[in-house]
Order: sequence, then structure tokens, then C-alpha cells
Amino acid sequence: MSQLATAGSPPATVRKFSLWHEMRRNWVAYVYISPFFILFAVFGAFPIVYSFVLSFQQWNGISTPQWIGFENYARLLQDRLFWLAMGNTVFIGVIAHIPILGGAMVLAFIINSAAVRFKHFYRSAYFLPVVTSPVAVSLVFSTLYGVRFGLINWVLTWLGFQPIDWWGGSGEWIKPAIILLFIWRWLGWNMIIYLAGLQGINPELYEVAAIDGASLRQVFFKITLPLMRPIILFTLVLSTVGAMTLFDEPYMLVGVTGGANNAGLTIAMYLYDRGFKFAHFGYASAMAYVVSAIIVFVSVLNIRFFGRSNTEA
Amino acid sequence: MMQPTFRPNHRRTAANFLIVAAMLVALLAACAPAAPAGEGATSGQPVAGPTTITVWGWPAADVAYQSFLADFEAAYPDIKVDIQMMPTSEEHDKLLASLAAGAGAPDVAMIEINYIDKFVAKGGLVDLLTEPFNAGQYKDEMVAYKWAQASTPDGRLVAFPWDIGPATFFYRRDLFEQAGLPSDPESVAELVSTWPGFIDVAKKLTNPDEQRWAIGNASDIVYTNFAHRNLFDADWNCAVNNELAVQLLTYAQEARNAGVDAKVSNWSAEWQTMLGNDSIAMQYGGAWFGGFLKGWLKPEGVDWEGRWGIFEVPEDPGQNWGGSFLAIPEQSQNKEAAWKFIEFALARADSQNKMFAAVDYFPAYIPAFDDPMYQEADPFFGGQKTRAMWVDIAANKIKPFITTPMDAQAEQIFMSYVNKALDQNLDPQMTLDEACIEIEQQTAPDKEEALKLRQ
Repeated sequence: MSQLATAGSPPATVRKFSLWHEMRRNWVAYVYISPFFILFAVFGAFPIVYSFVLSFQQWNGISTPQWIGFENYARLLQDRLFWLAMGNTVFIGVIAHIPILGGAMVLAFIINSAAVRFKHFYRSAYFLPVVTSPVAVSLVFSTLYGVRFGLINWVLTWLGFQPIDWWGGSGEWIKPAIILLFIWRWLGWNMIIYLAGLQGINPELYEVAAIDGASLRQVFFKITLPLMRPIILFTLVLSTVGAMTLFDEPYMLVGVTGGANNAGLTIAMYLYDRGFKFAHFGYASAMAYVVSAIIVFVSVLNIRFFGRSNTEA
Repeated sequence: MMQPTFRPNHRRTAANFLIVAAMLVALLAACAPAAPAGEGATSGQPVAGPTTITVWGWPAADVAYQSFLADFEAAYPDIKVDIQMMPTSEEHDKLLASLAAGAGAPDVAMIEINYIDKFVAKGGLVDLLTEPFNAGQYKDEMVAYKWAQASTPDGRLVAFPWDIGPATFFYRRDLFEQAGLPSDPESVAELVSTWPGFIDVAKKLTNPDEQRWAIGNASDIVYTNFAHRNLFDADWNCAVNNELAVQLLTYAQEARNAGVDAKVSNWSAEWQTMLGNDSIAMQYGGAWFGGFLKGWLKPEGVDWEGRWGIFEVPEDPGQNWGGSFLAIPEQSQNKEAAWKFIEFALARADSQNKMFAAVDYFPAYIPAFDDPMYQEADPFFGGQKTRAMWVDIAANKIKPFITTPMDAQAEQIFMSYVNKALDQNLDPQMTLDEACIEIEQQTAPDKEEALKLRQ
């Protein structure tokens, strides 16, 4: 009887708990989707929350954590290496992403145009670095960058130039070396995203432009770019996250200290160094929260700037 | 009465629930770390079947374990050993993570000297001086400095000494001859008995046109005296700006400026290539480096037999680089079996020497040195009695030194300043003063924590 009553006209109290009620009615479905949420809670949400708590503690991983308030954050602000790593990360991120995003857009436009043959080949070729194992990449690039036995220096000396001392001096060649590797690895990834975006643009627009006699340049700047705006925003946000968490490339090339003058030390490497090598988990957590805050801030800026007028085609 | 259509009948629901629950359990079981094997055997009831202990390590420790495992299994038929190998840094990271998490640690963990300080200051490992282990009985039979490294400031012993790294320079006899230098160990030792003598020899060995340099990296000259030790003084104040460090850095700069080092980092791919290409004539290393030369460093198709020799570090031959320990995590369910394994492996001359013969891990267990093997000439080193030299260094020449729980981090900062001074030709004293300021700053929290234990 009560079943019928609730089905007929639900009283206010029931409506208040309608979500709970719905969940109870469909509990089998919820059980089926629960594995993701359970795993996320254990491996995603819990670490996120716990590291926030840890950032106010001093903890070496084994003994009892000590509550030290904002001391980790205060020390972070005075830590020379933290600011150096921050500077390196921003420098590498900004300088590398200009050719990555610009080049990816141009390549995607070229490959998408009707004139190019063997599209599949080019798409795979440019995407290959993304799926290559970082260890293999590091081996190949350390052969390229070798000081005495490196391929690049061999070519340079053959052409009559001075060989480059990649890791020595005050470390001025370390950042270029990392940036080159970074560009090589991530150009194809962004190109594939842009290519997907380009293929989502209605070809009729291009036909209309052609009928109106628009030049290729006009087509690119007046049709392609504006319509690609949401895609560009997407890659910018991904790139911000990617740059702030830059770890593999410099770690492979110069090791955990970042080489001469810590020139290749990025914020993610420093975090790893302090957290997992020296077991300063509280300090590393504080650093992680500062980095997350910066990523959110820059992403919001990106969205404000690029996401303002979304051209809903 | 109408049955609401959305409502499944009870029996089906129960069945569904069971299926889903089973799936969840299977999923979680797949994700969870494997339960320590053999748990059942020791939990309460008398030992029925064999106990299995998990032993971690990194290559070539597996070869070392295998060399005496048959003896161990014959002596303790109830204990089965499950050996798990992974890369060095991964093993330590995993151990630290499992100690922090309170689950997933092995019964026997291997710990390298560069990481031991991280564990000394913290809990998580069994104090081997307590019952039923009573490791204290072996104290006088172990190389003293090795014992001290695994002892905590509050007097516990958290790991048991395995091997030490009495350190020497390794040199290529054939390259010395090509440079017109004598190549027999006695004459070489005389030439390089001082650092200026060492640098003179280095200059004669170097010939960039033939792609040949005397040493891989000039920073090794400083590292000889500071590998994992003496970075702090007895009061735990930074000591890397002392007279010795400044003097060694000055010599290292002289070597760098004379162009006798190849400016490659140890263990890099390029360094390995250069060793194989006859481009590096001398290399600093612990006794274990001999094993590397005979093994993975030797290039394919090259016969290095008889082409290497060793000489002691100039001016102060009592040097050590490297060495490892075995430890039992608190969370182990098979602590007694684990201790039997450690005792059998490390506190018996026979097993220690089998491992030494297999992988050149130099025993920290002094009675092992009585074996005639230590007086034998090694054909790989042109018949030089290298083992006797290492024993002499370990037993007679190494002076007591200071290790602290802050060493790993201090060493990293110190060596990065040493490289900076070499790369930019900076004033040694000023650079090392800066290094000390940074070391004091960066290690302050750890020092504070460790000092509490020391009281």
C-alpha cells in the first residue's frame, strides 16, 4: 500500500531525499558503477585530501607526523631551489610551447589539406614519439647529446664548428637540450588534437570561402583559427599542466639535481627529490599544493582569455 | 496487488548482489599488493608446512644469493626463499613506501649505504640487537665502520652488514704503456702516491686527438674522501668546507684545467661507451667495481683479462665507497626465519666468500678474510693480489669516520657545488662555504629530528 501512496503524490519529506530514494531504487546500477568510485576514492580522492593535511605536517614516512602549521609553506617561500626550479619550469614550458603549439597547428593544417598524400603515414610518424618508451627516448637522446661521442657534436665538428659542451659550463646548454627533446616528444600529440579539431569543421565553410575567392591565408585566419578556438584552449590547458609537471625529459637527461647550476631542475623533479628521495613528505605536499594552485590560476587565465566568445558553430 | 515493474524479485537481486560482490572482491584483490607469502605457516599453529620468506635486492644480488642458497636450503629445509629483484632506487622507494603504508614489505630487505641513513633515523625496521636475533654477538667480527653506519643515534642496529667498498683507482695497464709510463702496480703506485704525482701521470695519459683522457670526471678526486661520510663533523656541523675538501677541490680544478678529465658523469651511457673504447685510463671505484669490469661494463668481444690494475688513493689510501646491508621490516610475519637467512648469508665465512667469488661483494665479516682466496693473484688484474690490498685497506687503513642521517642529501648538494666549481672555475673555499650554507639550510629539519634520537 505504501508503495502506491508514494508513487501517487510524494509528500515533501520524500522529495527532499529524492536522490537517496532514486539511488535505493536503482541500487544494482549503482553497485555496477561503484568500482570506479571506490578506486577513485582510494587512489585519487584520498591522496588528494591527505596530502593537503600532510602539507601542514612534518612527516618522514615512518614516524608519527608532527603538526607544524604553515611552516612548510613558509620554508618553501625562502627556498632558493624552489624558486630556481619554478623559474626553470616556467622558462622551459613557455619557450618550448611556442614551437610546439604553433608547429602543431601548421602541421595539422597541412596534413588536413586535400593536397597531401600518405596522410596516415604522417599522422603515425608525428605521433610516434608520444607512444615511445621514455627509456628508449633517453637512450637515443643521450647518444645525440653526448659531449665526446655525441652525434650532434660529431656533425658540428665535421662542419667545422666547435662541439657543444651540453652539460658543462654554467649549464647554459641544459635548457636548450631539454627543450629540443620536449618539442620532439609533444609536437605530434598536439598535432593530432588539432587535426581532430580541423576535421570537425564543416567543409561547406571552406567551399563557400573558395567560391568567394578567399586566399589560403584568409581561410586560415578567418575560418580555421576562430573555429579552432575551443581546441586551442584545450591544448593550452593541457600544456600548462604538462609544463608544470615536466619531469621525464629533464630527469632522463641530467638526473635528479638538474645538472650544472641546477639548470635543468624542474618543480616536479624537486618535488620528487624532496618527497621520495629524502622522505620530506610534508614539505613535498606543500609544494604540490602550491603547484596545483598555480596550474588552476593559469588555466583560469587561459579560459578567460581564449574561452571568452566560444564560436558555437 | 500490483507488483511495481521496476522492482526485481528478491532471489534475482540476491544473485546479482553476489555476482557484483564477487567481481568487486576479485577486482580489489587484483589491485592489492600480494599478501606476504607463508603467512599461514607462522600465524599461531605449529609450523606445519615450509615457511616462505620474501627477499628483496637488486642485481647482482640474485647471483650472490644463488651462490649459497642450496647450502641454506639444506640446513633449513623448512624455509623456502622467494628472491625478488628490482633496480636499486626502485627497491628503496618501494621499501620506504611499504614501511609508510604498513604493508607490502618483504621479510628481508637489501639497503645500500647511500640510503641507509634514511632508515637509520626512522622506525619500521627491527632492532637486530634484541631477542631473538641477538646480532650483538657479531659486533667484533664485523668491520667497525660498517657496524656504526647501521646503528641509530639511540643505539639500535636496524640493518646487518653485508659488504663494504674498500676503494682504489682502477687503471688500464695497456694505456699506461702506450703513454710511455710503467704499468706494473709497484711503479704506478710510486708515481701516484701524491695528488700532484697523480695529476702529472694524468697529463701524460691524456691525448684528446686519440680520444683519450686520464679520468672520467675530475670531481672523483674530491669524492674519494667524501663518499657517504665525513660530510659533517662530530657535532654534526657541515664539514665539506674544511681544509681537506678545499685542497682536494683545488687538485680537481687543476686536473680539469689541464684537460685530463673527459667531463662525463659516472654511470652515464657515454661514460660506459668511453670505458669500452679505451678512452678512459683510470677510474675510481669500490672493490665491487672489479665485478662491474668483469661483467656488464666489459664491451662485447673485448678481452680485458690482464689489462687492468689497481692502485690506492693518493695521500690517504684508507677509502671506502659503497656497500650494502640486509634488514628485517617490523611488519614481517616471518622474522625468525628472515634472521636465520641473514645470519646464514652474512655471518658465515663460507657464504660470504661464495658471494664474493660470485659478484665481488667484499665481505664486512672479518673471519671471511682467512680464506686462502684473499692471498691469490687475480689474472683479470694481471696477477695483482687485489683482494689482499682491499683487505689491507678495510682492516688497517680506513680511519674511523662520521656518518649522519643527513648524508644522502648533504652529499647531493656538496657534489653539485663541486661540479659547479669545476665547470666555472670558481674559488674552492668560497664555493664550498656556499655549499655548507645550503647543506645546513636544507638538512635542518632532518637534523633536528635526528638530534632528538641522539639524546
